[in-house]
Amino acid sequence: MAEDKKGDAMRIDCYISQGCGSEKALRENVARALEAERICAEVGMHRISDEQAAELNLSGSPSVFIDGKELQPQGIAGFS
Amino acid sequence: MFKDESGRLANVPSVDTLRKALKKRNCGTGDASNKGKAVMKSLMDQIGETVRGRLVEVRLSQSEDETRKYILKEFAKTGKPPSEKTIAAAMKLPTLEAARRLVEKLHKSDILTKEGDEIISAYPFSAKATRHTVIFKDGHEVYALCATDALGIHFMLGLDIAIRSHCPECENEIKIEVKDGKVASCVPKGVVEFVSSREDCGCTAKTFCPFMNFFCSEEHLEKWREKNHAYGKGEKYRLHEVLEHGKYIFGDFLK
Repeated sequence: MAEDKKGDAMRIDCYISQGCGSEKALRENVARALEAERICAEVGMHRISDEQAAELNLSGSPSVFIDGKELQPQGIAGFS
Repeated sequence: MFKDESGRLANVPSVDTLRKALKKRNCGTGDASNKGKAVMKSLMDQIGETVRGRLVEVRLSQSEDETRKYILKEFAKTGKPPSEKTIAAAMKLPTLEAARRLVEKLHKSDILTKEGDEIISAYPFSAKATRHTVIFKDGHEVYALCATDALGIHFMLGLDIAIRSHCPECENEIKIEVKDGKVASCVPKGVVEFVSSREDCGCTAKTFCPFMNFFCSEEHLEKWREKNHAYGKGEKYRLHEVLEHGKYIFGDFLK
């Protein structure tokens, strides 16, 4: 999982399960938010398996991290 | 699932939710030198986008927007904001409470600021004295919240104006005349604007505006920065750039 970044650019990492159909909408919303806030960030879209999600301790798909901090951490188990 | 602003669940985070998180992340370092790290545009562009963006985000109805414009026109005409009672009467609102609710809505959206029941500023005007006085042809005066706002008033109202400001370094007077979209005269000649980036989270009128000032010259600006380290980080703009910023932010504020 992306670590809390201390470098020069903001980083957004999105983890998406193999069967999740949210990538397009997520990409659009992230792009619109960055544009609106005039922020330039490195954006990573990561398609991962359930096993990888378990290893990363992710509980929802998509899971979004901004500079390593999870946006609205999910309290529900299961990556789908 | 993600909760949006109204508590509804969605498969992906909403644009507003992401914007809030980005803003928080970009402001949350506590170190001004890091705040601008991810910013593509100039500080002034950001401020302009923020001020203009609020008008879009608040989604005023036509009658609400007319009331907003009325407040600005009254400010321009008298140098003072109208009271809620005056607003209610002028806009034929059904009750005083309706005027209060609308003023509160504009306050929460950072379109104006208030203390108690009184409006104390509405971009670009201030009811309280500031460094920047805008003088109209008929001689009446109004305070502008900041240097950029002072120039923006010319574009917002389409009126020739003179600006009387004071250099924070030497306190000498700076006088700028604006006619037909151009700087007609400027005394002294080397005036620059400095926008401090010390604080960039929160209400623009309270965070940025007090630190957006004209200086007599680059030399005076540099002297001031040396003595005011806490406010010394920021961006410097030439007068023609400030004029463009003012036009961009306020040019269609009343349209």
